[in-house]
Amino acid sequence: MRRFLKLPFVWMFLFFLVLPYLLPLIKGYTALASEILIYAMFALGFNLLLSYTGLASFGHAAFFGIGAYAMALTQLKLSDDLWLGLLMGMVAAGFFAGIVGAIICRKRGIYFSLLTLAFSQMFFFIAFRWDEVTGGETGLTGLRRPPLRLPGLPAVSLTEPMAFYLFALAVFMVVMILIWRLVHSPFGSVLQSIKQNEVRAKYLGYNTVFYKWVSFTISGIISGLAGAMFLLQQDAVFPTYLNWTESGNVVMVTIMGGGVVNFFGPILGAGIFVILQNAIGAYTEHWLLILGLIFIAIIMVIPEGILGLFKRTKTVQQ
Amino acid sequence: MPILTTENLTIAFGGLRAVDGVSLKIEKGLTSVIGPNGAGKTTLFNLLTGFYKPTGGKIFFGEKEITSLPVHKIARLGISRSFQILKIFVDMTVFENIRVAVQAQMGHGMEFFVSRDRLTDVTKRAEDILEEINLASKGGLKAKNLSYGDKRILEIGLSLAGSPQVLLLDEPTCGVGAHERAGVARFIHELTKKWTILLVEHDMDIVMDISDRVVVMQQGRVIADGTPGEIRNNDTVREVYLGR
Repeated sequence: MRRFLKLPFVWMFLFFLVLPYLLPLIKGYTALASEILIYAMFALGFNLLLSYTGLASFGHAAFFGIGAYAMALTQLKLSDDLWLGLLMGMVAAGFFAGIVGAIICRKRGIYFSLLTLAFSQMFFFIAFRWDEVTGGETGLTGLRRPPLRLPGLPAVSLTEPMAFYLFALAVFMVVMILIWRLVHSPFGSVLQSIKQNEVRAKYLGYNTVFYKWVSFTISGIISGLAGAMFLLQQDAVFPTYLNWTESGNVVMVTIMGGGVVNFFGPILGAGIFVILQNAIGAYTEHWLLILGLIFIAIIMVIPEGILGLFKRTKTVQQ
Repeated sequence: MPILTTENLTIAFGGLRAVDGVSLKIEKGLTSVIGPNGAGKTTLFNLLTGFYKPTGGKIFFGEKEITSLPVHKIARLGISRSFQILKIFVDMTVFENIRVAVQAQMGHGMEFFVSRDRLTDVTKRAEDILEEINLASKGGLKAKNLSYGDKRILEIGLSLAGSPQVLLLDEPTCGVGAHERAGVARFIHELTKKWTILLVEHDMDIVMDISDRVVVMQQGRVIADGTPGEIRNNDTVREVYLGR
């Protein structure tokens, strides 16, 4: 039992179980808690690429948006099955991430980053203009949240915010544990070696381009799942989901929380981002300006992000 | 049968032939490649390991032609190298450095959901290598916190982890202080008992002490090839390299 309680996941799970009851204290609500989980999932997937592989993508919102559109189109054209929709969100995002990754994973540094930005803007433009499929500028609205069906159990409606929150929490926990496992696996070691010295990793016998491609594709799949979950939460999808500003937000969330030095940083960053967005947004529509200033202040004082502060304190104590 | 063979190996960068028609047969033992700066020694290493593609000539590893293979495939065949400028994983511990190298050799890289700590065969092999390179007591240290001499040894350790058939060492004593230099030289000498080594080194005392054969390059060409004694007494080498 004591060993069980030492696992950070257990504490995180318990914290998120009570989060919907804590948020009203700061004028929050259950749907906001769901948004935190979804954004945290997106940021964790993004961070696999940024902090563990050393690749800075400036266009990850493309895969988030593709996941959301795939979920919506599955529901509109094929079936309203929840699992099929989520699966299609992941498959579509993974498919496009696989194609983009195959083209750009040979590039490094700023060239890689700029290519991700260029591709994401291409996807944004397609979503914005392809009215017949994506609904163009007005997106796809009026979608519904299908019930959760599990074998041998009666269907559970997810229309209530708390029911959807608990579902989002279950998905989030599975994704987080899988990513944790991944970064602590032999594959994770290879990614970290590529981040630290790609030439040496090649000389050890690793096909580094292939490993980067796999990491890029997995990261795209997780982003797509987060996008599909976001669609369920919002009941709508708009081209702005794919825009470069969203890609910038996930970079900000990940770095602000301390994702570069701590696995859990993106989760903290997502919490702060969503809560501040909601809190400041209640007073002014220029919330991003204020959030930007907060981000600048954090990075100036603690370049490694908020969880980097704890790392620094620990080092000083040692 | 030579382990490594080059036939008329050439690479040109614009009008400059950095390696010009080099034909070598590398046999077991320690072969040193010496020459003044710009002679083409490191470029030769880069060609042998697939980092550069030659503009002419061929490279054979045993009987297999490897001229156009990429770096990672050549490494997997058993040609490993260390670098003049350190290429270690500075933010990993010494043990993690070696473990990730052993993983590559044992083919565990694409395992996604197994804990790396549970790969007992990899851990055992990594511990053995740490013993072999005398860094076992420093396994838990971050690589960036090692002394420069130890970093140099770790650099070589990374190359050894792949159980290579040929080890290419590019100036392994570069930047190492006089007090640590002897230790690195001893370490290289120990390695010759187990591995075929191709060494680029500027320290002539080390080269002449430990080499079985010395190849001298100048302006991309091989100008002499023989035992340390023969090279010492070679007038051309004295003239162009030793300055006499």
